[in-house]
Amino acid sequence: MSLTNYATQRTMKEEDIVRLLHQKDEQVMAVLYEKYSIALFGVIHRMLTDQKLAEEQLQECFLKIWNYADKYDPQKGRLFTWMLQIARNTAIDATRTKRFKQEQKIQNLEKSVSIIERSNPVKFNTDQIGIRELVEKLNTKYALIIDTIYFRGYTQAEAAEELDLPLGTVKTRVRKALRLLKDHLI
Amino acid sequence: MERIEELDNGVLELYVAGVLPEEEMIKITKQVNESSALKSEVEQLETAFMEYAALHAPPISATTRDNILNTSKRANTPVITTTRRSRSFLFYLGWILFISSLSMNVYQCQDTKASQEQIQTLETEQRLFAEEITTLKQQFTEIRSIHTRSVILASTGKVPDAQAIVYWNTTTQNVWVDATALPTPPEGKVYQLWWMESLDPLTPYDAGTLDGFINNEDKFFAAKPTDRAIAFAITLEPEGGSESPTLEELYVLGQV
Repeated sequence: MSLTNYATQRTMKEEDIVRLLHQKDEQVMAVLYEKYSIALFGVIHRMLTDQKLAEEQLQECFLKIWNYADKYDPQKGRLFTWMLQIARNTAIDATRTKRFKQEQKIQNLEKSVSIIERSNPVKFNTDQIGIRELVEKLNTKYALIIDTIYFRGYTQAEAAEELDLPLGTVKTRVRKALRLLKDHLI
Repeated sequence: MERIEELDNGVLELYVAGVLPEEEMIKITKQVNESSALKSEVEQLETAFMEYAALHAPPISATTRDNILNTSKRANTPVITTTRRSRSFLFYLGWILFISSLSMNVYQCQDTKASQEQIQTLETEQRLFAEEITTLKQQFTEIRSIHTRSVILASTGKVPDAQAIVYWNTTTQNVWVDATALPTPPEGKVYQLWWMESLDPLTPYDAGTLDGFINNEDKFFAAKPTDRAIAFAITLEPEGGSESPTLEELYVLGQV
């Protein structure tokens, strides 16, 4: 699915989706899938790198979303943010399983974060002009900050410690990184 | 100004990432809901990250998509996995241990009188579990042995997605079949496994029927031993099995 399609499918208002979710209306899964699955899968796949395992965990993630639907509180953040947290935790849990470790689907999560795109080449849709350039432009330091905070869910203080950066730098970089994404992707 | 202040300290980015403490998340949600400018900013940040994350996503298989769309139905079933095959035995062991521990819990919750009676039942059950686990462990060791060959039986086209895996330990000659990817047989019918001594002329030998298919959660069956198979096949036969395979009902076939 191209990014363009992906963008145009976002028709339903978040409030309406949340209402369906809270009512446990079965059709909400189709809406959530169309709107969020690719991004959530990106997060999970980024962490696990193995296609089959990542797909299993995506299913697990959606199952949790369904099971805990009533736990989502719009006052505590956006729907996507809530699902992102679930996706992250699901993927992190999977990295702790014996199977994952044995299969060494990820050599070392700590290392992989600092290697970023090189260790896990992103499969780009070549139709999307400028995507490759975007990641290049994004620069390792920004990709790294997005990886740490968005994909792995570190707080800024944890990210500062992990990346050995002053807190102020983390804040600046996360802003700058998102601004770059915004400028190039939307 | 609120907006500038928020944007300047990069807190909205952290808000979208969901990495702020709960009280701060609540505070910002309130501010965002009160300001359309802030809301639009948050939506843009969210979209930007979603697009970026999407770049990391290879295509999702149709099976996974269908499973997700059917999440509400699957939510009632205890096991969700697409890799039963590689984990069958461990899953089985896991369930037995789980059930054993449930039994123990039940036992602990009873009052003394009732539990006296239960102890005996549970002891028997536990012994049976223990025996079963021992058997399973032995089988597991045998299956993972280097002398075990796994033979994939591919669909003959009758049911396109049908597949089975035969594990054959050439030293002990024991045979197992994993039939997870076979459809449920119609009433009055049963799957039957055959091993072949040669394909030309076709010399099939009965390796047993896959009895109790529906109730066998793991779809894992022990078959009759063989010492010289060159291929395995599964056909659908009338209940009780057949003397020779019904070739029109040949579902899967695989050479060793």
